[in-house]
Amino acid sequence: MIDFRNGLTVLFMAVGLVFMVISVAGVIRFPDIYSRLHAMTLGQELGVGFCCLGMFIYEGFTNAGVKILILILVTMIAGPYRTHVISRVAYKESSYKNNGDITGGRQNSGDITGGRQNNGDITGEFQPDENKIGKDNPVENEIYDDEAARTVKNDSDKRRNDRCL
Amino acid sequence: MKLFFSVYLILSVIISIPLFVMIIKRSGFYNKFAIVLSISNHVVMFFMLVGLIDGRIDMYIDVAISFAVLSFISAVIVARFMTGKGGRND
Repeated sequence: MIDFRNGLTVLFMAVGLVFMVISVAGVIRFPDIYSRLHAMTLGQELGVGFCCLGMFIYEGFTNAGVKILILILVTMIAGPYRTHVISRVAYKESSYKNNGDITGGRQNSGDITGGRQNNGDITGEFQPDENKIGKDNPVENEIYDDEAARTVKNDSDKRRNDRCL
Repeated sequence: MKLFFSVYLILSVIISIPLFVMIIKRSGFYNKFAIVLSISNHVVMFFMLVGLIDGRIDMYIDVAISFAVLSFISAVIVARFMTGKGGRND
């Protein structure tokens, strides 16, 4: 029976170590803060959870075992909330600094057309007349719309940042 | 089992070495802060393993729980400081 319990302990702790290795690899390799936080949360919580579960099996239902269960509970509650708070703050700060661009200035982010400005014409035949002046020119209209939307977004960001979390 | 816990402790310390390197190499506050929080989970495990090896898990588990709760509270306080009144964006 003791051998079976020790075997389960070794198994769970080994699984936890594997999760932690994956988490560290993700923190090192992933390109930006959001994906890094994602890897960190999943890997670390599962890693610490499995490791503590192995220790609980080793200890059994003693005082220390119950405290280990409490530690698992604290870790499982605190970790995701902590990650959520940090990613939210990072998003706010990035959005405030770069006018809504959270990609840190990478080109064509989210633009699946690769920068073509054909106003939804997927045939590629639409060519806006740049000599038109005023609101009849679709290119200038687009610029006006962008500026208005950006102004509204900046105001809402400022209002959001004035509030506490 | 003490041998297994000792090897496990050495492995978990070796795993956390790249995180210390990343704190120096990465730029930006949030990157460094996320890695510090990642290390805090390793430290919790470190306390538990030392307790199991030492044979006094009752004492070390209290320290580990306190450390986990304090790291959580510090993360929330720092996040609130970065965006709240008196923070960078005011």
